[in-house]
Amino acid sequence: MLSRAGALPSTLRARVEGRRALTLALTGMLALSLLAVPWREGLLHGGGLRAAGEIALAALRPELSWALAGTVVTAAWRTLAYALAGLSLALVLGVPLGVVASGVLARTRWARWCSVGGARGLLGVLRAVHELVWAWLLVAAVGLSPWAGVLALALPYAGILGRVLAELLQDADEAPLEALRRAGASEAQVLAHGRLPLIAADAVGYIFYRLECGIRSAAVLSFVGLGGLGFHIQTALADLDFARAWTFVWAMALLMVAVDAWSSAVRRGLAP
Amino acid sequence: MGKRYGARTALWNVSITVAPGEAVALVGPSGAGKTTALLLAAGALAPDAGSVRVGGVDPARLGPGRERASRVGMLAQGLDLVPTLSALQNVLAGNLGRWSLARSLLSFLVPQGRPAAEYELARVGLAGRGGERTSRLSGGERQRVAIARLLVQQPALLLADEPVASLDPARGYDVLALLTGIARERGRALVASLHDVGAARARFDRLIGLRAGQALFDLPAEQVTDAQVAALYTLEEPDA
Repeated sequence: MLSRAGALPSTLRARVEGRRALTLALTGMLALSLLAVPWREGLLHGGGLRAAGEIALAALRPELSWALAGTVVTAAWRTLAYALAGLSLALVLGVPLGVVASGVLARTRWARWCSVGGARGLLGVLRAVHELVWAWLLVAAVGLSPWAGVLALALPYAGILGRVLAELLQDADEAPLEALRRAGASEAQVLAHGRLPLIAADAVGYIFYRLECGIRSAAVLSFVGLGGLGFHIQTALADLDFARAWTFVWAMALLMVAVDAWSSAVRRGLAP
Repeated sequence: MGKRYGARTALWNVSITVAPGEAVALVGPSGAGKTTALLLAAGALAPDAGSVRVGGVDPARLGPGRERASRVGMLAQGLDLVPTLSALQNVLAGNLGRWSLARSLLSFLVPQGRPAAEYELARVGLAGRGGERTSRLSGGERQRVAIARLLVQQPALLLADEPVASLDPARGYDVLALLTGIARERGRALVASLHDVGAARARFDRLIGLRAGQALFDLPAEQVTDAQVAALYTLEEPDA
């Protein structure tokens, strides 16, 4: 015991010295990296500052014309449709996987270990790959079809939703569940009448948050060539038509606000 | 029966017999073994000595499920309902041991066995309140919903662990009157643990005084003396 008590300050001292050495090394590297910057040419390219100002001003003057309105609505609808379809498919895949990954239905320890391990592993693989990378893979596999976009969203989102659902199910308040078991309920009945209603408000709130993320992702995925708000932002920027680009950006923001209002309305109904 | 937790003896040489329609109160200080006695009776714990029989069967042997649920039902402090479901759905959950999974799922869409559940809600004084969300009910109302669920479950033996600890005295007294009244009219055996000896003497048929895992008395309510109650709660150790 005495020798261990004596060893403690020396390891602490070593750690402090190590940290100081690291700070010095990093500061040195920063100083060296500043030497590599070509200061004489300026940090921004020639008209950089002017372009930035132009883009900022355009934010206040987006293009508002009846001719564009139809395009905006169609694009917003398409982005929302991708997000909704992707999330729906993610729920179909993710909810059963999440239930299995929570292990709440497994009767024996061995079955629990297998179901939790297997399902968690699968969920992990699904969400380890970003939706943009899934989109590249799927476009390569099935071509530029709406399926590629919807699946690219659904696969990683199933991984995320399944994992969050599994943790919510495991952490549900035990007292009501124990009461259901005493009333003779099987674990499947405890899941349906106890765990799921107990976590419903949290789960629905999280699913709506994921829908917001899905809309953002769907907009980015449209760069892959699948249409939607992101596609129009990209083409407007390519034409240097900043006012037009901002019209679609603002449409995106409005879509988010609308989804947020929908989410609040639904959650008010579910709140305990 | 007896029960040890490690080196500590929670209950020793205590024998409790309850007849159908009889209301028995376990009274005594915290740590006297009241909850242990109830958990043994519920089959949730196995005794280290002696045995438990409910209608001639050891509930612990039955394992969880319908068989045990028809014999023993337990009431906690009203905190074990599912707050996000309606009062009616919580009461209907008393049927789960008898229902198949398919029927219990169908019950979310078309409540199964609704008349019986409405009848029991009316019996506990919550007629027409089944549609309300359980989390919006008061503590006393939630305890009544839990009692209605127990009535739908229809166990032969009703156990209640401190059923009124979270209620104010007036409401607690009402809930005790309801529990003992139900035991008598339906011919169920009731065993409840209570802190309030006064309420126990007023409402229950028989009192069992527990202290440090031993039964100090087991008498009809009207024969329990103040001296016996005082001995139960006195702070000095007997025969130290």
